[in-house]
Amino acid sequence: MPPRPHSTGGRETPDTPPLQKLNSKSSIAVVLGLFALFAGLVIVDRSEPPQWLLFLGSFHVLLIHFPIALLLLTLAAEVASRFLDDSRALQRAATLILFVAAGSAVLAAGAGFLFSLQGGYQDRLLSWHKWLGLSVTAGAVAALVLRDASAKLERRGSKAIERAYLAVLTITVVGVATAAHLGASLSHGTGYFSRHMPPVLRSMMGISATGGSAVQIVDLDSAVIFKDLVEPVLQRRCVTCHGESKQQGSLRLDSAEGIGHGGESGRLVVAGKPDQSEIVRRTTLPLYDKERMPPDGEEPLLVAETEIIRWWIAEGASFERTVAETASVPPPVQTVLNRLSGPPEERKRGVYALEIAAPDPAVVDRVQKKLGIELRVIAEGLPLLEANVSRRKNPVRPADVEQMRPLFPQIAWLDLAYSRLDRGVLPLLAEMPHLSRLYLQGTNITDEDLSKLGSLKFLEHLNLYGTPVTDKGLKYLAELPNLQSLYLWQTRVTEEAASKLQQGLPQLVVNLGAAPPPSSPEGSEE
Amino acid sequence: MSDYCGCVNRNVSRRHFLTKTSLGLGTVGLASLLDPLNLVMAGQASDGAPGGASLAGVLPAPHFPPRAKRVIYLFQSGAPSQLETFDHKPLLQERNGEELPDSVRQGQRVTGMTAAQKSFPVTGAQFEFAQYGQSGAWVSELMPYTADIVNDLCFVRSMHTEAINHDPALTFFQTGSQQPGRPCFGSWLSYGLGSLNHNLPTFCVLLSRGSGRKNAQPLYSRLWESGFLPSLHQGVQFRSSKDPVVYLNNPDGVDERSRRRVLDALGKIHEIAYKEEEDPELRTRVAQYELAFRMQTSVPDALDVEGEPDHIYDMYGPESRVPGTYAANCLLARRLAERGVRFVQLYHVGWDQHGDLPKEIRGQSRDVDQPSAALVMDLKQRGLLEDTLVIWGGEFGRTNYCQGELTKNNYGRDHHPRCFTIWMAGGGVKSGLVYGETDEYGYNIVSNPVHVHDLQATLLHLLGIDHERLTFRTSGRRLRLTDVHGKVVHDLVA
Repeated sequence: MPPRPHSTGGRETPDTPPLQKLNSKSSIAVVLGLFALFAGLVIVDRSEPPQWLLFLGSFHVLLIHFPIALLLLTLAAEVASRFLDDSRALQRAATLILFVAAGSAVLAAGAGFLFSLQGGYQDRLLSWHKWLGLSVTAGAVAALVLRDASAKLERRGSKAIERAYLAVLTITVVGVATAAHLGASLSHGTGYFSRHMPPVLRSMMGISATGGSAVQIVDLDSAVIFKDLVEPVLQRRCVTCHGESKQQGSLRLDSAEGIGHGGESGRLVVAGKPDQSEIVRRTTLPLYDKERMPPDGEEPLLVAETEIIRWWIAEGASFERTVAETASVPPPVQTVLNRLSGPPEERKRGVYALEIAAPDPAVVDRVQKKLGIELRVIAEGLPLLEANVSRRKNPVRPADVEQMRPLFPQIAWLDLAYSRLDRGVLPLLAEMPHLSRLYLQGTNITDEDLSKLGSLKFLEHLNLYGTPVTDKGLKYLAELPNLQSLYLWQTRVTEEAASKLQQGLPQLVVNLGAAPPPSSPEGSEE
Repeated sequence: MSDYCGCVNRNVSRRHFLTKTSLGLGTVGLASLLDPLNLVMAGQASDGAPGGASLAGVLPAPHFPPRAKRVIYLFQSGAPSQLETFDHKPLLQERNGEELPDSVRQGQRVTGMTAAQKSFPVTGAQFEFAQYGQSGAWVSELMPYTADIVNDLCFVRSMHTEAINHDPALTFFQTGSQQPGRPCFGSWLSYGLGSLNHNLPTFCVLLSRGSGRKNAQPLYSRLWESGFLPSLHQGVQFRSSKDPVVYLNNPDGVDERSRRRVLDALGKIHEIAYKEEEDPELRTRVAQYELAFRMQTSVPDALDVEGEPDHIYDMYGPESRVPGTYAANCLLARRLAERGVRFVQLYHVGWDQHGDLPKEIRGQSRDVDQPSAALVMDLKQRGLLEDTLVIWGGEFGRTNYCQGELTKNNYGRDHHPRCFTIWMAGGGVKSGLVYGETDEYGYNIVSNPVHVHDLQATLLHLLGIDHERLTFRTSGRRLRLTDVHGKVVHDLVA
């Protein structure tokens, strides 16, 4: 008869269900199994285990899932049965489940012990896993015995035993989760759980952000080939099996010593001779080859990755040599270097170099939908936007621009060409601090409007062609320190005023248009 | 039974079925595609909705800040001779008629058209050359207007290609493959970056006939097709006549509102069909209907060349007033680019001078010289040249030896893929540059060779695209414009 934790009615009739018989006797078998297991730990010769024992050990990988799932299920059944009016069926099921859980735990632990004899695992982590696994097994068996006892003792003392049972079960479940995590760390590498953890969660749990993102090399020439290029590849693709937690083939690739020591087969690295190095041979074998690394079922290394390793070996397999000290850089490696050296030159200049918060996607969405203003991210990884407000049917009102206010810091390119701008739009542009390209050709802007633009210190490109601006407005532009190109074709600006502006801004190129006469100076060519 | 038939009758193609069913797995795979650690192969830009009929590009943002937003490609179909235009070889003029030394050709194969020739007499250009601008670029008397703007141009004299016949060579330039079936450059741009103006096609094609050679090599419309990309991205060919786009006006008795209602209904019907069959082309068709509807109002404005002032016509030359000419197309190209057409592809045919070269090339050069130069200047004064890339060039070069009989006043040149000259302007290209060099016989490249794939990679780079990362998965692998080749020629980038 299963225990009834709290009285929900009369006790069960004394006719014993067949399940309980199974329970009582079989519990003893399970307990004996546990003793056999401990005995086995002592008896078996660990240095030279027989082949068939090693084979049986492989079943650990299969069996281990039963106790994990079933112990959790037992606890779930116990909890659930306390909320049911008639929980007899569930209680009976729980009995069976716990029995199978404890039985499979014994088998899995036994197989696990044999599995550990296959070797290749980090001792410390393995020993934690082993002893925790055995404790869990013992806990499961204890829970089974306690449950049995509490059912037998009927009224007297059953409460205390039942509490003990629940406590042991809960501790066992916590234990099994921990042991499972350790086991997973053994087979998938210690960082398996946090590898793709979102940064927020990561910082909450106090896990440092390692291996999560590509290494950015600030100065390419002083980058160390091994540390900055080779090691990330090994870390990402190799050390799960050849590292701290596992040393397949007695090989460790997580340290210079390990790499120098090599593994069971061949010379891992022959300095200067990539073709004789085992690491190159194994990683470049065809997909179907059994010796290929990473092994069957894993993605092969990328060409760029094998090329990096090859290059490192060709350059002497030094752990200190920098990129600048190498004799030559093969093209595939150069491609990688270019990627790793951070954003291209273009990005390091002007507004691209500024630290600006990313635009609020909700505002971007609203502006696009409500105003029909097209906003594009200038380039991936940059917070900057280009806004297209050109050739609008209706005049652009200050209220429209006002709606973009949360995006003012992000707008770097603004195209208002051929749109009619209501009064009050231009002063708003002055509040977009990072404007670098401003297209105002064909608009109705005036000299007075230009006086508002003086604060745009990042403005590089200003197109005023086909607007009514005159020499008067031009003088305000002298305050724009970074202005590089200015288009004034079909305005009333004179050459004298343009060249005067140019004198004050040496980097500026003013274009007054090609026509009329073809020989006329056309601003400056370069 | 009826259920069974219903199931079978759905026109789901095998490939489509596989694509759809693998979507779940694909989503899981997306995580690894987005993995920033992925060093070299960034994932295929995911296609998003299977409809793919979106006017936005598949790339959420360009890979780099773009230097060029638009391209005007002035394709000189038939392969203009570099030796008569931009690659000055005085030695050929000096040794005119002498046999081409074996040390120059080095046993390299020649085309079937001249392979049977008993002799290969070197042939000098019968035109005067002079140096212009800061770069001192050599330009022949055939291109006086181009000579005036060399400070804005970037000459690449070391282009080389793999194809030796017109159609494969054109296809190679456009699609990165000599075999037809891949998307062309404009389609890749449309697919990757999307439209700049939803009222006009993203990719327009303008054709013109050369006055040099009347019976020119034909062009196939597959040179602006989208290959395996959704057909939304194919080029829209404008007619070479007074009405480049016809049927813009509603027929009698149909007004805009009723047309709108018809389109709405059609859209719904197609959507039902799409739910049944999931054929992305259904959505493409609706998108094209809608574009055509919007073009009814946008095209008259874009193509209204009548409104251009006289001084603009004067710039582009007298032919710019004649619809369908190269000059008129250049003017049209500027108007389209101005309105946000991303890729304007011009083709000017008639450059295939196997014989009668001196006469024919005069006509061809006259067709293109002034309008090409005017286009660059016009874009420049409008401030558009900064982010509009103009490219001028053919599909290969021409031989330094004579095809057929070399006489005092007449000669011809055969196809020559080993070196030829193109020029580029604007869009982040270095201006006032002459890049690359050929040997003194103008047969092989001696420094800085630029392969077609390199040019494609460079053009994409200027447009803000990493050529290795704009891909489309089909036939079991990710394909891209540059196939598995191409490297960006950073020396050409300003």
